[in-house]
Amino acid sequence: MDFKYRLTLFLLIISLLTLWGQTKSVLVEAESFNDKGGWFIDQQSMDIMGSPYLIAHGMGTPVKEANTTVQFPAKGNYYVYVRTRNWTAPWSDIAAGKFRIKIEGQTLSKTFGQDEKDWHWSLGGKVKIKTNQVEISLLDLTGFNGRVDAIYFTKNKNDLPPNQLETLDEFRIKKLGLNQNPKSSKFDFVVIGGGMAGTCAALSAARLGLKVALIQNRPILGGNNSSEVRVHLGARINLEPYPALGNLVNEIGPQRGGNAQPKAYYEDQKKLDAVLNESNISLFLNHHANEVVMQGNTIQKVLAENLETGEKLIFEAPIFADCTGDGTIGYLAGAEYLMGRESKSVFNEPTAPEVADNLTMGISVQWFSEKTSQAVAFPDIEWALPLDDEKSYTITRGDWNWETGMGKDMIREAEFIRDYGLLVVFSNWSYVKNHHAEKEKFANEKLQWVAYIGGKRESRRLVGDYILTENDLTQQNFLPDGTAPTSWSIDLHYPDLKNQKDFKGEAFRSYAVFLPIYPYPIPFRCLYSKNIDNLMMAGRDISVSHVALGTIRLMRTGGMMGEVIGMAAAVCKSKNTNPRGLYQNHFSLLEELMSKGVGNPNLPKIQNYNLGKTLMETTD
Amino acid sequence: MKNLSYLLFTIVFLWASNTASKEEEPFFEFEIIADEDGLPNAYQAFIKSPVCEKDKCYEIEIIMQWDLIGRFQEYDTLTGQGLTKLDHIPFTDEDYFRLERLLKDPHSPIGDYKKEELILDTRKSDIDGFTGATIRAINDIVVGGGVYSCYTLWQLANQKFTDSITKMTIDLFDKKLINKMVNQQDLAVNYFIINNLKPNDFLTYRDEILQMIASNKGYFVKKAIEKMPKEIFRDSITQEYFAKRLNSYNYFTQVAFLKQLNAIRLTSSLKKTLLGQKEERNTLRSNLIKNLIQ
Repeated sequence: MDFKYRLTLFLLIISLLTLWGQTKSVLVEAESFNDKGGWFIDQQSMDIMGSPYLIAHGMGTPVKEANTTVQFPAKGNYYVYVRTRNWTAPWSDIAAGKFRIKIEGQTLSKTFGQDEKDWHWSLGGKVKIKTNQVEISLLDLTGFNGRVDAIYFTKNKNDLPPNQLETLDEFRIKKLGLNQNPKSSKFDFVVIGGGMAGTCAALSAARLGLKVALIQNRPILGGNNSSEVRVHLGARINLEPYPALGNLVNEIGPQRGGNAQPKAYYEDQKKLDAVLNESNISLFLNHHANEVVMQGNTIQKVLAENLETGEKLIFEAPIFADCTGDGTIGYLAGAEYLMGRESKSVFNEPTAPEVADNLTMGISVQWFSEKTSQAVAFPDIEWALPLDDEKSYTITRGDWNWETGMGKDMIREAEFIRDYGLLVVFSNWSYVKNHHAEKEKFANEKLQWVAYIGGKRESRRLVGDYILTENDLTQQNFLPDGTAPTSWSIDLHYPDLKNQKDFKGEAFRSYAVFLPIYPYPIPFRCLYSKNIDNLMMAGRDISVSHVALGTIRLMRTGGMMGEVIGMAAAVCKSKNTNPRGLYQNHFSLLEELMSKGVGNPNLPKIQNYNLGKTLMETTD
Repeated sequence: MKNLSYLLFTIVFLWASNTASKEEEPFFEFEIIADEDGLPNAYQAFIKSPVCEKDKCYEIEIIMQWDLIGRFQEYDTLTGQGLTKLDHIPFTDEDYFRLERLLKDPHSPIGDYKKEELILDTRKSDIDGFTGATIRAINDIVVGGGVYSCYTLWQLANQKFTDSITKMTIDLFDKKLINKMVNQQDLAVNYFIINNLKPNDFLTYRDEILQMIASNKGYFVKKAIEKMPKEIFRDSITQEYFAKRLNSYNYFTQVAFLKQLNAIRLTSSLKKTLLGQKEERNTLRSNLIKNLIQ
């Protein structure tokens, strides 16, 4: 054989081996399990760790097993790798979230969730696959938030899947056979984020005749006001100079107030029905927008991933709205943004610190228990924080001031911050139930609900043509492009000092400092990006200083901002312009729309809770 | 009418057990209190009201006083007959202070509750749950052991008679009274006036209205302009008044004013002011100005 022939044969063999290696493996994403049993999809950190995952949030009771059936290309022996992590490793040598895996009726001997603290592929041993249709089950052992991202079956022990974000994504696309040419749809307005701001933005634009896509990365709408987070709406609606703004919030918001209350308080269905009743809205629940396609400074497309299947969809529109809270779309598009606290010298704000730092307000993992007719046990957990009678809290409900992560990176460390929130709730409850001198008082209390979706207050603030500051608010510096009025006090949170000392600098309780203000109309220039031509914002990621965020972050205010940018999108369409063009050349049209509002003005005003101690002119 | 400063209150607060078996409407007698010039200055009422707790009712006798727009001012008890709590324990100084603070808060959360909601629920929290029998949201603002008395008195002070009082004042409106009220320089009183004048009254009291506008900012000026009938703006004196001040008003007040000028002949100084306000940006204000000075 000549050299050329031998080289060709060698390459052919290598290719065949590679092909064989590829086809003799199966990747199963946990979030795509047909029957998720008691496991929930958690997408909160997918931009950081690479994927949605399943979490066994049983509050101390193991959750029902998740099951799925997977098509295997060939029978035989496979090595099993499971992508998971030990979430309590940062605080304890003992793992909280343990689980096992059953394959074709046989449970692997390996217990997962107790090894490394970071996401990794854990080898679970070898299994013999005897059929092409394989049943796989996830067996939760603890009810304490074990988590699994994916299971990889391979015939080659050395075929360890990638763990880095970039390579992991390629690996998933390849192994899952995901369509690399996703379906594309065109809309007049694409809203990313289905909290109060995004939902109102979509409704507002749709009622003004626009074809709208609303993309939400949870199975329900409402964001922090949904039953997944359970924060009640706050601040005032129907204020001067545009009293009709807020009728929409009145229309879709819950009638009852209260943080950390039973699920029904948050009326998820009411928000969903409002959206479903608008034929102009295409709703994409369980879709996470995580990619943009730019042309210069303009967003051409946003790509969103189906949390269960991994399939992507493309959304094209002339105008996009970032109502993600985290400013995710702006960040992906290269929008300028602020994070942390600006120093006093930046905006000359009296409340700002002398030196800039990374302190943000934290995430709340709220919770409550309910009294039952008989004694209820709770595990005496070994991985708990060290507590005593003095450091623990003998209460039955954790409100907004159970707050973690102040000073941490709200994006990159979101999973850690949420996990610390879970850790402290479970640690405290375990101590109170099992060790506290007054434990008998809690004998019949059952831990009824603990959030696993963290209620976030602050992260990126996208910079607009104007940055709202404390001085604008306190000096009532009304600007001609004022829109929805913010009315809640400047309400900034800080770590509770005693709690911080008790827990080695990692506070999980907070206190608030209030500076009441008169209602202040938020300038329109705070609601669109300075450097991304077709991006608007509503909610907590608008263009404000850290101090000004303290007032605008309330959800009724966010809902009104959404109402305004929905109107702005309608003006942009009718005048074929972008938000800055609207501000410069067509602002009067937005003023007319704001005077009318898009909500039903005839409904009774039912939301009389949590209005805040606004400095109000007495009007009657 | 009597001068308020000469009034001696003899107010009775009786805690007479078993005086009533069911909750009844209060008995009351109203009186207008006049100032030294004989103008209405306040209202006072002698009230007998039952306070019911479960199946027992007690009768309270008290004198309360309100200002002209129905804001509770003060109460007093009969000499030697102070207030008592459960089991006839007399109010302490702190209890009186707490009751007064409660009654003087028209927005107190106690007003958000029905009587039967004052003691209930089992869920507790360190924020707004409960500590003991009284719900925590109001626990710190009522007198311990006297939650029902506090509730009844707050209702009497802040809700029961408010509409009657304001109606009485509106019926009493005349030039002297409006002038007196305007000179109080109280924003709530100012709003009360503009919210309750009939359109023609704005012409009658134009000087007083403009006086209120001159001493206010915020949204009051906008609201006053919106309430004023268009006829007032035809008058050159009114136009001159606003021409001098327009630049100091916020954007939204300016828009409200400009809307009132539609189809009205403008004085030259007002036109000059408006010309100075022209701007490049397309806003409601710039459009209104453009239409007015064309």
